Amino acid sequence: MKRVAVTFAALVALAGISWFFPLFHVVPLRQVAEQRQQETFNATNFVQEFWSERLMTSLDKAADAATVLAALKRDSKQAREKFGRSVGLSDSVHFFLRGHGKIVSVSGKGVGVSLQDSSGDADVLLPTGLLFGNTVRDATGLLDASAYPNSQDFNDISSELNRIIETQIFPPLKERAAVGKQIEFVGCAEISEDEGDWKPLKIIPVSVKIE
Amino acid sequence: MKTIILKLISAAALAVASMLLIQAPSAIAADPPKGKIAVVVSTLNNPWFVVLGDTAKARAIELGYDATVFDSQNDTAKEASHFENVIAGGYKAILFNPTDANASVANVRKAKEKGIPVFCIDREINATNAATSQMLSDSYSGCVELGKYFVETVGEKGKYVELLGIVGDNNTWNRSKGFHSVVDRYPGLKMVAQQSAEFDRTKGLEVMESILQKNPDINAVFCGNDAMAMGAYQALIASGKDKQVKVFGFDGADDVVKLIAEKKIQATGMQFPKTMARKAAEFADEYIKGKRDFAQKIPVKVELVTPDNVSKYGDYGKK
Repeated sequence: MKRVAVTFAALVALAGISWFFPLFHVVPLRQVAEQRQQETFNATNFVQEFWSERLMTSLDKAADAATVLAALKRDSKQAREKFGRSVGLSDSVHFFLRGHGKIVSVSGKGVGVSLQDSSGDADVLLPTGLLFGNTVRDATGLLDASAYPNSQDFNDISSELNRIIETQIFPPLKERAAVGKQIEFVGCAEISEDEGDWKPLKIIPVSVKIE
Repeated sequence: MKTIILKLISAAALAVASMLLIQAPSAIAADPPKGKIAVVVSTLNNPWFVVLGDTAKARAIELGYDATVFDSQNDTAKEASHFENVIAGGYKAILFNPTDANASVANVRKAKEKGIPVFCIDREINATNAATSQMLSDSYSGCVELGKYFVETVGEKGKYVELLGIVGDNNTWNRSKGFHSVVDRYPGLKMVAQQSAEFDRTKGLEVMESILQKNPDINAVFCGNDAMAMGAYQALIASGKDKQVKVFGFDGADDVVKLIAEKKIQATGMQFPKTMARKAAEFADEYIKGKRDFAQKIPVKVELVTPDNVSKYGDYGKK
């Protein structure tokens, strides 16, 4: 009888301890999935915030396109070192540029702009077609590969940036661009070392204003 | 008198010769090694990784270290065993080509805890606070360029196949995503099969043979590395479809570069394994000498190699 009482008391004590310090938790699968989704990098959300909070507030940091183009013509190597940005080990150089001028051509390739405000050849081309690659992600210097444990996340940022430009920048640009109009732009460019003739300089726009 | 003089001259000559002999060994002997560096490579069953490992070893030796290459045979458990041996063996640094972006993290952390810096080469681990630095091919950008060339040469309509690499390697997905970021924008281009051949030539051959039986009328195959591209090309030759199907690889391996020059394979992405390997060895040397501020991730540009520019490339790099 005494043994039964002791055993019963021990079981009650064990039950009490397990109640306050459970050996395992039962968690609904949906909760686990939601938790995992929160921990997974969400490129869409990240880029939306990056675009409005960091990129759009950094447009004034872009170098003057006319100045950079003139420097590239004078001394390409020096201009790349002064105004450009290289990522890792690469012979490509990225530029974050702003400029204004006159639209001199509109085609399937994009909008040609003369920075001299003339009706001559285009100095820069603002592309309006399909957008690929990492130019916009890497040109501003606002994002660093070292901050992303998984480079897939870092590359997903590029895809999202390109998608925003294709859906938010290109459509109004294509609709409103016309030869003779004045245009202001901020955008990103990339030149590789063996790219001999890069004129007109292709600048992917992140901000555009047409008169 | 003459005899005495001759004897004196002989004795003097003998003394000088003896002094030279005593000094010569120490003059010829190399400085003792500065320590040991380990080169742990995912597999030596692929010539590209053999070049990576051998170059890293050679550069470490040039810098004055003893260096040993360890082959993980694509096995994370073997890789862990190598790390145990390296840590116990008093190595001063590890030049590391991981087998798995997630599973390899623990091995790197163990080395870090013991004060041994780890420099990742070509492949990354999914951590930014374990390795001292990670030198990685920009596979995504490289495959964006390859994807653009794919559309240019195959056209905007057609059927193609994709052979993926090892699923645990981030390079597999960076390459696939870079390629698809371009090709998927052309709805006329249809991927009829996608399967892993684990970056292996033999598996590339087997998988391609199997896919061709179900899909005999494809126009192109994109392979996540050149070893699989060679396997796929062999399968196409065996089935008589090597002229019908365009083959695209990635790595910059010598055998594929040669076939590009012969216009038998369309393109590859040159990854510059020798550049990465040499730099990693140099980083290790700098660390051992006291430098600590290394960028965590260093992308290395990949260059598209096609029949138009192939003359510029060879021997796992640019000529």
